[in-house]
Amino acid sequence: MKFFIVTLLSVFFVHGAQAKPLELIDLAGRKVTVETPVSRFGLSEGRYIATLSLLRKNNPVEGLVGMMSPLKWTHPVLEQKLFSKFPKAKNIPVFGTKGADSVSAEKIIDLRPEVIILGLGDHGPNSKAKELIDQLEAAGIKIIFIDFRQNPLKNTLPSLKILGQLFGAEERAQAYIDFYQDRMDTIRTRLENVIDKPKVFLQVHAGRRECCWGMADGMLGPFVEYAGGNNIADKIAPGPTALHTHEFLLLENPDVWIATASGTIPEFESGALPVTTGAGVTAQIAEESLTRYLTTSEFQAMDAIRNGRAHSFWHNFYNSPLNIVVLEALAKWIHPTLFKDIDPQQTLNTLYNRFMPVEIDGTYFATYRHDKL
Amino acid sequence: MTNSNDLYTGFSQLTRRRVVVLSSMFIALLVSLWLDILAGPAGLSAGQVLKGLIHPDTLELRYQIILWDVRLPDALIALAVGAALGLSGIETQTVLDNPLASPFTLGVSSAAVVGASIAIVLIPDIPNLPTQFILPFLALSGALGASLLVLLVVQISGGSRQTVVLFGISLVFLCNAISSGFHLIADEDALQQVVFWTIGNLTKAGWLEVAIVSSCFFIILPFSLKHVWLLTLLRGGEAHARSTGVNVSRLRTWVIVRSSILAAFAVCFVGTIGFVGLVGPHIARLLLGEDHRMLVPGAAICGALLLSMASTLSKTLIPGVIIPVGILTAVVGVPLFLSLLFQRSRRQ
Amino acid sequence: MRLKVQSVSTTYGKKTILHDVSLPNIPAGTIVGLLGPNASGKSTLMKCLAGEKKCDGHISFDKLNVAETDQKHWFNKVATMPQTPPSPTALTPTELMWSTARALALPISDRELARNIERIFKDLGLVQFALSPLHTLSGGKRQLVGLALALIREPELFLLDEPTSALDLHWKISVLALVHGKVKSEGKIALAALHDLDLAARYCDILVLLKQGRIVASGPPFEVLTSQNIERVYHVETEISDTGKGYPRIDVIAPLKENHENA
Repeated sequence: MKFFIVTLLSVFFVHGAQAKPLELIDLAGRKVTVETPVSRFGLSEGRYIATLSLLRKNNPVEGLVGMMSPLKWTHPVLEQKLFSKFPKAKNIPVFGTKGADSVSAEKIIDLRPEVIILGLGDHGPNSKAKELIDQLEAAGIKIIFIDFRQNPLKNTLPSLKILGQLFGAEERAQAYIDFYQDRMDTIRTRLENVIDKPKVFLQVHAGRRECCWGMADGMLGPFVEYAGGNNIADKIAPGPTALHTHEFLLLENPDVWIATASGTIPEFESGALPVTTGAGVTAQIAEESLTRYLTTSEFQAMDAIRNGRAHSFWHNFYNSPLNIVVLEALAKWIHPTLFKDIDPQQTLNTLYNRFMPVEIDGTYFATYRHDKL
Repeated sequence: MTNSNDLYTGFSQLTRRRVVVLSSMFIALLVSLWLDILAGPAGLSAGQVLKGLIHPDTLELRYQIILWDVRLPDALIALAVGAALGLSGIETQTVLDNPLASPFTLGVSSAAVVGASIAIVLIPDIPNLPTQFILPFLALSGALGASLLVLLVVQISGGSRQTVVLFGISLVFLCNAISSGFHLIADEDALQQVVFWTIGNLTKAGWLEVAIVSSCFFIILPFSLKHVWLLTLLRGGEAHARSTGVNVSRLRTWVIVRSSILAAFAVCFVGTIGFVGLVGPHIARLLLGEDHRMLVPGAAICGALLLSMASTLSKTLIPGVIIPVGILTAVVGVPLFLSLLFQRSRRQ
Repeated sequence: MRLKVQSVSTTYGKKTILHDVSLPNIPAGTIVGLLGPNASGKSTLMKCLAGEKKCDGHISFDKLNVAETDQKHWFNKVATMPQTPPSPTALTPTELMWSTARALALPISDRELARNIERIFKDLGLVQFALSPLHTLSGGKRQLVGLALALIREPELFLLDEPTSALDLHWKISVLALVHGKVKSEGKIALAALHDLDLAARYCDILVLLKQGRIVASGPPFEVLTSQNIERVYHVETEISDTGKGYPRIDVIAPLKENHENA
């Protein structure tokens, strides 16, 4: 009897896993009908493989027929780890280089994906690439826009939901969404009655780009406000990012200075300036690279630096659903007493353990120690 | 009397020889077009392509799309834009008696970049205009605005060559400065977009753009052909032209009007692809001499040929990746031009 | 009377270039020599006659007034050879002649045009250069091409602005002889600005001597080319004698010191 029931149930279960048409509205507001789960697809940027790994721990690149830029450009260590675990991933073709203009429509069509996943505001073709979209759709390829970059505060979870639906990983996506939402709610509720909003400057690519590119009302800029801070760049920047001067920073004298770190270990070892965090980076290197960047007279004159309220985090959290750890880090750095118990590194470890197919190592957050100077 | 046939025969022979050269250039263009249609990462054989052109339904859908929606429009826009730039280049060079002249040096392309920068950085909304046409529209407006200014200068200055050229150069610098102003307030993405637009890209154009640019070319071509004798005559010098009763100022005005319009339309969809409008006419001149009956169509063909070859290269240098075509026009054009120059000087 | 030029004045901007210039009425078959130093207004006068510049005064040819005639019509009758020869480009003399003829819509067939061009080139010694680029031709040869361009138009009135300035002696004489012959045999009129007084005396029926935009003297060579006139205009001391062939000979002796005369 039990056997009979199990068989009956499994028949229903198997039936449920067969392809069914799904109508969804993507992040560009386009209504798309797709057969799910998708068995052949393409990506604009290879970095989304990291996201796929979240959802499909056992077969992250299954069905991936091509991408514009490879994973190694943003996650070189992750790429290596994935390659050794999933050797099939090594030979996935590429249909462009660094920008939307390099994309070959023909190559995409030739690879026969069912779906192409593009970002609203990443480095690949966006919703304005009409010619490309027309060509692909005429060839029967569906285009679905997600977004972890342009407005991640709003779009991260819906994007994940869509990805979950596309790959028949709704349950897993939901698990991640619940985890994420729970963390967001915690931060929001704790800040409900907090009036004090410390001034914050969020700098991009510290040490790599000229000083000082800031995130304003795009990308992670809104995270600052959500985490209870006052984003000084947002007040005057005309767009999502803008170039501010040292003078502006000194004048505004923010309470907290936070930077995204895109430096690599070879760069650090050669004495170059880019602030370094990430895989394989020790806490010492992370701190040292931050100190190296901040020991200029302009930075040393800022209160945020002198009070040791200068921090950095790994740049490539910003275009990925892992950005929840950034939100936590921001909250902790902006309101340290209020969020004493939050540990972004711990959250990151938990996420990796629960969702990712590989292990995490390295340092992803750093704080400047003025007293150690 | 045999003497009387010598000049006639000699001249007819020369003309016939040039017609042969012109025809060969045209055939080369067709060959280049064919190669451009054949080129691409999808492994389509020549037979398949031929079949697909005649009976599209015999190919599977994705190859149909590749052939008819990707390769053909890109190959044809290369011809249309190249011909447009070549035609406007030769006319401008002759009428300003300046081998470095082109609508680009008159400020048309720099002004187009201003329009494109506005579109990319400010992302304005224009009522009744679908989004994908905002950038071409603004680029076109910029370009035509610049030509209007140049025309005004022609009228005011009485059509002096020097004034026109100098004004054009100042316009270039002014427009570059204005564009840079917009770049200051742009974020990294917008900046990159502008840079790439300036270099030029044929893949964003579809059949509609091909139709627009080709129509523009074929509408303007008859006007240019009507002036071929005047243009040839003008090569004899402004003094001679004026003594023959040719209104040089008016000729200059007409040429600037139609070259600017043609160049404006050519660049507004594909970006300011450089070099074609400058070198295409010169290569044609080296091959065909100064008889503008041959030279005017020849420059158009040369421009189209140059851009067509660059288009093929942009697809094939790194398979599966598009290299901006504007980089390759110089890569193709300079060696071609230099080799012709050396041949010419060795013969002398 | 075919050519009438009376009280012609004109300015460039504020500067008056020609002051009330009148020529004697000029009948068919006359060669007129325009003499005077540089900036005396010779070229400007030609531009007025050619219709290239709007000038005050009366200019008419065959009863057609230049001010009232459609430019195209005027250019059918009047051809100018400018002072500047054709530019040294890759254009060939034949192409330049051909395009000029076709641009002017001369109503002749290709064969006839070729014959005419060849004839003119033969007269001017240009046949072997007919299909050579202009930039391979010397300045003198290009000047001859400039003359050919005027000849191909078969005008009634030739305006030649310094047509011999770059030519060697052989061609100086040949060109003037050619023009002389053509004018006499076909009943045309030629006005030539010349620097060479001897040649002017020999080939011109009427001479016009200009200084700073005003007529100093006009009439047959003996009347115009006096020591006094030449001294006044060219500031050189000369000795005039009779060649016995119907025209004077001018022996230049020495330049004179600059006089600040009020003209």
